[in-house]
Amino acid sequence: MSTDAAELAVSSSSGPSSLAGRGEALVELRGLSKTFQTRSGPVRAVDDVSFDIARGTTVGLVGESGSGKSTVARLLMALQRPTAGEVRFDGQDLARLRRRELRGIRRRMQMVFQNPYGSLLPHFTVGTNIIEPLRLRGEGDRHGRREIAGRMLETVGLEAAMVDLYPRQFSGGQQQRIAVARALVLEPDLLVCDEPTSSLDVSVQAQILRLFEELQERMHLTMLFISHNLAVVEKLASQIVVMARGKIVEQGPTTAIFDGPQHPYTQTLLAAALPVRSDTSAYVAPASARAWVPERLAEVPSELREMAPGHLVRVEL
Amino acid sequence: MSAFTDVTEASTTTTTVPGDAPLLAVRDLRVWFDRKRQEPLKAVDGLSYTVDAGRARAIVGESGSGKTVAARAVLGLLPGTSRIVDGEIAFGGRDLRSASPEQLRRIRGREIAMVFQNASEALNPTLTLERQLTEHLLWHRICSRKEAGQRAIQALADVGIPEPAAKLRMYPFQLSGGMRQRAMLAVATVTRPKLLIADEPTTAVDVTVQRQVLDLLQRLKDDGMAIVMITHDLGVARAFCDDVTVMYQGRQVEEGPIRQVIDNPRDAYTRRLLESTLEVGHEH
Repeated sequence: MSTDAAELAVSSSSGPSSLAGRGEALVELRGLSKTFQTRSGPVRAVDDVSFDIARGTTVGLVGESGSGKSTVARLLMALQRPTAGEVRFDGQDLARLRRRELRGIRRRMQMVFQNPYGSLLPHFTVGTNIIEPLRLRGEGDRHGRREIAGRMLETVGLEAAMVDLYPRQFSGGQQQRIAVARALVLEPDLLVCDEPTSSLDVSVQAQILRLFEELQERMHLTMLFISHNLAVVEKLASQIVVMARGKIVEQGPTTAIFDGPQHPYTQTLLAAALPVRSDTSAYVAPASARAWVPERLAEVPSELREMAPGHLVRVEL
Repeated sequence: MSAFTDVTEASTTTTTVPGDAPLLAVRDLRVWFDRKRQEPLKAVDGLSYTVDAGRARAIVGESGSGKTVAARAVLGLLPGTSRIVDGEIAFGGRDLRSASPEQLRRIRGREIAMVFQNASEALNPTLTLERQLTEHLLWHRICSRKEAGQRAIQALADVGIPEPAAKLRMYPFQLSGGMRQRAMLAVATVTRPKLLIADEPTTAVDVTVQRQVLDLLQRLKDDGMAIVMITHDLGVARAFCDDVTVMYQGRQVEEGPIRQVIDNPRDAYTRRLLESTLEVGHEH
């Protein structure tokens, strides 16, 4: 059987707004919006966001703080209800699921957070932390679970003998490995990582990224990787979604975004990345990009347009 | 009162340091943390560096390498469990190690200021920006209350905060993260200190805000301020600093002009640090 032909068939049927490119989408976000009511009026944290995450691929979601990245993650995990639009996981609309069905789906999607220590239970041993998802679901017995905890520690590059230690006895990088082990213990299909390396040192960050790369290959994980660090998503993601002020301003294949960013906001972001090994930035923004301010997104009507296959850019109307 | 205060007064009136001595010279600094039933932790173990007026030095290294302790020692802001066991800290020809707490208080905020990583924690949540911006000016009796208000507005304008006069009445929580970071920089620089110690000033901000903060620091440097920047980001160090000191486990493993160190690292740890550093558009 030719996988190429199968991929081609799927990608041509998935339409222009699909990020999938190849293979079937595990996650489909359609017209997703979330408005928060605050004392100073409603805030559109997420505004008409649509993209797919194809099985076995990683989508990088980038944007500055307040751009709505984390809200997208929470909507996708069904931790919050969207104001409009839908989240489809493996073809099912999460909003239509009953509580019990949602619980079944949730085990297939797990999350890794920015602050590893804050996301682990400090009074539980590392082993207990890792198997907590299994225990909550009543899976396995005490003995079996302990063994699984040991195996998970080895999966993330630690030692099985460490199960009885407490989170605080580990360094930040090791704690993040433990958090990853806990996220993987239910063998999820989707891993949502919200700035998982932002609080880590560069050398530790490099190790954790290598771990994610290994896991991508070994477990065929599907990932949504949220980061404000462009170099990190460039390394891990095959597709990029750029958000500002709750809206997608540009999305497409990683190479297309990094080689030829079209939206002034993407251009500004890329130009702001500081070079280390040379005196000049890898990308210099045109003068037009410097004049653009994010406020324009709220003031000027705009729409996403497909500039090249799979490469969408927001243009003002 | 003492000879020390006389020197302080003299050095504030003259802008240059007498002779060719650097503004700040740290020599063979050793800071230990005492521990129960254990050998003391050698947080800083033999560190030497200098900074001249109008220059910036980066101190890079991973967390726990001693870079923050090394910088705080200069200001006499070490935690109680630690002590300077050896070394010299000379600022404008004065020995800061033998300075009394009172003498250090007269220097801190006036001649040496510090910017911290997390503006939300470093600013006082219960005071308006005006109170925090004028505190140093009034405490050090640099100017009158009325003039302090004017200087506070100017300091906010200098860091690129729009409508500075209106912002004076605001509390830190009413500002965005990027604004808070800039406001803290304004608080630190309102007295025009000769030396600014910046501890990861851009780590908690977005890349575009990072650019703004670095541009701002560049202007201060061009005006003659000396800057010690603690960072683990070699991109920031390269973009902004002239010299770099690389620390690893409390020891200084490499030192030199920033470009030379990045282009030709001699130490194995520096090379490893460079290998770990990701950058956009670079083959990883």
